[in-house]
Amino acid sequence: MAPNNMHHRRTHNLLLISKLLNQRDSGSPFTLVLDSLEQSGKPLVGEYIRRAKVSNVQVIFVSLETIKTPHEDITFIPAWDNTLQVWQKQIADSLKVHSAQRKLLVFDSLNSLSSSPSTNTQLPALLSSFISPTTSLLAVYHTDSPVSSRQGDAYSPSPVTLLKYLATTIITTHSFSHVRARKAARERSHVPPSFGLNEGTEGIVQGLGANGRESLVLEMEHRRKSGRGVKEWYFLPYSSDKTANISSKTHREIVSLLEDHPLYRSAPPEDAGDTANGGESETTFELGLTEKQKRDREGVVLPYFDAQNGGVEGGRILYDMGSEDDFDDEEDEI
Amino acid sequence: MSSRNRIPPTIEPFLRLPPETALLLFTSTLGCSVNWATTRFIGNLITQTRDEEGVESQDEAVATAAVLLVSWVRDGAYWKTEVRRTMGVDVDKAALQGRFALVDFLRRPPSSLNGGGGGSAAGEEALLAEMERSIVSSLEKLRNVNNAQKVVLVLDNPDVLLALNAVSAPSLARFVLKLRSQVYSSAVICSADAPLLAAADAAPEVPPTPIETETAAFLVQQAHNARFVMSVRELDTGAAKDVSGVLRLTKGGSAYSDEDEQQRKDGLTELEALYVVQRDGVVKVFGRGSSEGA
Repeated sequence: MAPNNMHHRRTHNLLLISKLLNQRDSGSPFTLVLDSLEQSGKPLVGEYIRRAKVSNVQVIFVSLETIKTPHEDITFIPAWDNTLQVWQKQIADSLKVHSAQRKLLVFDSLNSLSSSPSTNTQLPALLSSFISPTTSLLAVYHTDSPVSSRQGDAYSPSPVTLLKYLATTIITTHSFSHVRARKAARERSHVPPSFGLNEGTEGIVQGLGANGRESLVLEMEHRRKSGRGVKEWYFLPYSSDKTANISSKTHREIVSLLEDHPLYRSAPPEDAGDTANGGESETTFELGLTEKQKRDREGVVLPYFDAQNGGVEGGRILYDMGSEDDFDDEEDEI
Repeated sequence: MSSRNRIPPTIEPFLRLPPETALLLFTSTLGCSVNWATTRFIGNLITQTRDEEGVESQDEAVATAAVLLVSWVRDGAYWKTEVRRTMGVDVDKAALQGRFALVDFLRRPPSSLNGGGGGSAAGEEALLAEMERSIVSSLEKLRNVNNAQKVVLVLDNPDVLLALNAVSAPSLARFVLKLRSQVYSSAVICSADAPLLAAADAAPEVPPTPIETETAAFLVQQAHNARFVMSVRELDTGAAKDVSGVLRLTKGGSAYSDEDEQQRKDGLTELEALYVVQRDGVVKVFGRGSSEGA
């Protein structure tokens, strides 16, 4: 029952993440990446862009905090250097070019937009104005950067709350070493450790193990068109060797479920699997029962069996006189 | 070569010339100053240009580099003494050779700051524009001497502008970006005391004040864009005679943009170690539990 369920979930969710990352069938028009200092969303954005280039999707990178893009062959719009009207027009212009081609619009950080007084209230409207059947949106938001409340309305929800409602997929990034440390603590019933800003130690900005070199963990929440949500944790290996990945990419999915990762997989299920399958053969004793033994065992009538059938009121004493017992009338009368 | 010995070998790779457009973030707390590292960073960049025909000629960092230091809370005299004391480098001489320039906003504060324009959008605009003008003019002067050299911009405590309520965090971040785009690479020095970062907490007990929010937003954003974050803090167990503090080097959010192989080759991995600044200015970095001399 359980392994079958797991198998089904694995197949289904791996197909889903592959569809999302490859931008197939416009699976998610608006993907929001929530990252933190402990795990930057940049490798995930890089993965999206790499796959977009493989499948011939045009990438438009709107930069609000990046000076020079590390990716080649993409349309780069340095929005931080321009006014809202200027870069809005630049985006609109680049969306018009080859309008039939599928496009991926990337925002490297929404934080400055959501804290600037001119854009914070209309940010959801601004972003959704870019989305079209051929254009999907990928935006990063740094969750640990507080929004300046200088000009904000104290009673309206924060821009990120609105964005979370709007987004069709929300991916939160975690550092693999931190996820493992938390799990190890949980398994020993310890308090899970905090990292970076949450450590609460003066002077600490980032935790050790932040921004792991080889991999990151994605916590995904995807909303289907029906409204049903799918939640899953994935493991994304990260490699700077871009050329090697592209060739192998078309054949094999590199993302896996977090539970399937050898360093994360918990020990107990593995043990359970062992006893179920090969446990019997590992001992010289026959621990099972033969058919006859089973039948005999079923035939045994347990003592006091009739008491269990009910129908007998109160404290009746069930006692069979043995031959050695000496029945005493007087004692019984007392 | 003498300058090389003044830098602890463990952290030497971090204080070399950063790759193009990279940002280094140095953070300190009130009880623990990071200036021993920043002066070494500055001195290292200036001296590396002098070693051009020297031993490390195969290294990219040997290419001529200059430092443009923009200081908000410390004056020229401080930097001059400190760089000489820690690295044995004469800043004045380097300035004459066009390898060092200082924009001293402590001694010569921008006039817009005095005008009391702080807080309003127009005042903020004028202040940032004025500061940008003076920084860019110093940059031009450096470029006039030697156009081929790679200028590294060092911003010393720009977060004081937030504390003065003169600018907002998004404007200051944009200001830093504008400056960064005009130089080869840059470093930002910030304070990371607990109150300045309290607003970055997911669920603060008390609503943060505007200044707390602004400083936290600025610092967190810089860390997101940094290649490496070098932060120092006091020892958890209190002051000690033979330990000045704890040094932590972590990868910032932009560590992904340059090649992993390069970082590995340079020995750029995260680390946490103790350090001690001795009376004569010599710094030793050592692991927990090992003896100071290690």
